[in-house]
Amino acid sequence: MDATSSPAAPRELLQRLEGAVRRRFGTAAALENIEVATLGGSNRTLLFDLVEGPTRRRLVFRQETYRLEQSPFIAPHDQYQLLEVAQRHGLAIPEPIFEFEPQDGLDRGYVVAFVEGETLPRRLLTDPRFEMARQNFPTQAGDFIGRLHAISTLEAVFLEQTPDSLDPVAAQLARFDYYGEAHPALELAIRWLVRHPRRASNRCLLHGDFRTGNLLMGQEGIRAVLDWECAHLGDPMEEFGWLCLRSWRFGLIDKPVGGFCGREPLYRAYTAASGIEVDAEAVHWWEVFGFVRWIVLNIMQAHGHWTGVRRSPAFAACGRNTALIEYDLLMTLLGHYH
Amino acid sequence: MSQDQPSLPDILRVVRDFIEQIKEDVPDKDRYHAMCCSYLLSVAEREISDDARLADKKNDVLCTFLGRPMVPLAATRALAAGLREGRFDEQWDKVTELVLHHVIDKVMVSKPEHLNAIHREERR
Repeated sequence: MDATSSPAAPRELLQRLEGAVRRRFGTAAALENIEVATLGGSNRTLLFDLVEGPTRRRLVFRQETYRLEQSPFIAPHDQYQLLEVAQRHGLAIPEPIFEFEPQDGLDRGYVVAFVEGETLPRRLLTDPRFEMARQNFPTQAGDFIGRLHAISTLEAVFLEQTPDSLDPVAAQLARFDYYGEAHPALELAIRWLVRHPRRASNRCLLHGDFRTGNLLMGQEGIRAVLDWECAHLGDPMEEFGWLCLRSWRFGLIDKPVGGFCGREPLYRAYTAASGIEVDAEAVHWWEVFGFVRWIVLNIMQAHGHWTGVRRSPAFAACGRNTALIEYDLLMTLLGHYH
Repeated sequence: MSQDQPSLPDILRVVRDFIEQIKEDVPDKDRYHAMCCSYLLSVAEREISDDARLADKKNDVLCTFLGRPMVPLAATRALAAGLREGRFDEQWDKVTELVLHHVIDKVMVSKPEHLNAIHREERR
C-alpha cells in the first residue's frame, strides 16, 4: 500500500505526510505499508514504512485531532520536547524523528520510531511468553522511574505552568466542574485530600501516566514507555500512586504494581536509581488522588460521547465505569483495599 | 412500554446474546467496541429492571440526612455540594457510609460482580 491508497486515512493527509517526509529525507523518500492504528479520541495514529533507497524504517505518525477544553493533556510540542529530554538521558522511549512544522500543513503532532512489542495488559500479565518480562519488571520499572525523576526539572521548565504542575487537586476539580456532573464519592475523596494536605519533599519530572497499558514490552521486559501526554512536574510519589492504582492490576489485585509484582522490589530499584526513599503514606495519598483523576478522565471520555463530539461504545462505557472506580476509591479510603 | 412481545428486557438480551456470539469473529479493531456494546446492553437490562419503590426508599434515606425532601438528582447534587463545602465534615463516618451505599447502588447496575463479597452478600 503506498502513500495515497490507505482506506482509512484521508488522501490529502497522506499527501501532506509524504511532503513532510520528503522535505526532511529527500525527494526519493517514499511511504509504504501505511496502517491506521487509532482514529479517534484526541489523536490520530498511523504506522508507515519510510523507504529511502535500500533502507526501510517503520515509523509512527501521531497527530492531534481534537483539542479539549480543560484538557488533561499537554501540547504535542511539549510531548516531543520531553521525548528529546528522555532520549538524551538514555531512557527507553520511541525515538523522536521529527515534529510537524507549519509548512507541513499537518497541524500539531510528530513522528517517532516504531518499537515492536506488546502493550495488552492481559497478555503481559498472564501469557507464559512474558514470564521473564514479569520477573524483570520491578527492577526495570523502578530503574526507569528513578532515572526519570533524577533528571533536573530545569530540563522540563516548559511544564512549569501546566495545571497539574501548579496544583494537581485544583486541576482535577477544574476539569470535573467543566463537565457539570454530580459525583458525591469524588467530592468525598477531594474533601479528604484537602483535609489531609501533603508537602512533597522533592519535585521531579513525572511521566504522569506510567502504568500497565502504556508500557511496550518484549519477552525480556520494557522496550519503550509510551504516552507522555500527562507529563508534569510534581511529587515523585504521585507516580507510584498512579502505577499502583487498583484499576491497573487487571484482576491481579494481590500484585499492586500494575498486576506485575509487590511494591518492595520496585521501590528498592527506584531508590537505587534516584536516591529518593519511597514514602508509603504519601503513595497512599496519591492513590486516593489517582482514583479521583481516573474518575475525571472517564467522565471526560463519556462527555465526548454524549455531547456527540466523538461518539463510540467505548467512550459510552466509560460513563458507567466511573461507579466501579468510585467503589474502589471508597474501599481504599476505608482501608479495605490496599 | 409496549404490551407486545418481546419485552424490552428481552429485546436487549437477544441483541446482547448475538453480540456475544459474534464478538470473536469480528476484526480486531472492532472487538473491543463489540465487548463494550455487550456491556452497555447488560447495564441497560439491569437499569430497567431496577425496583422503583426501592429507589424511592433509598432517596428518602438521603433526603433525611440532607434535611429536606428532594427528587433523586437534586438530592445527589445537594450531597455533592455539601461535601465540597465541608458541611458534613463533623459527620464524616456517617456521610462516608451514605456515599458508599450510593455508589454500591450504581455498581449494582454497572457491574454487580465488581463488588466485594461483603457487599454482594448484603444486596442478595
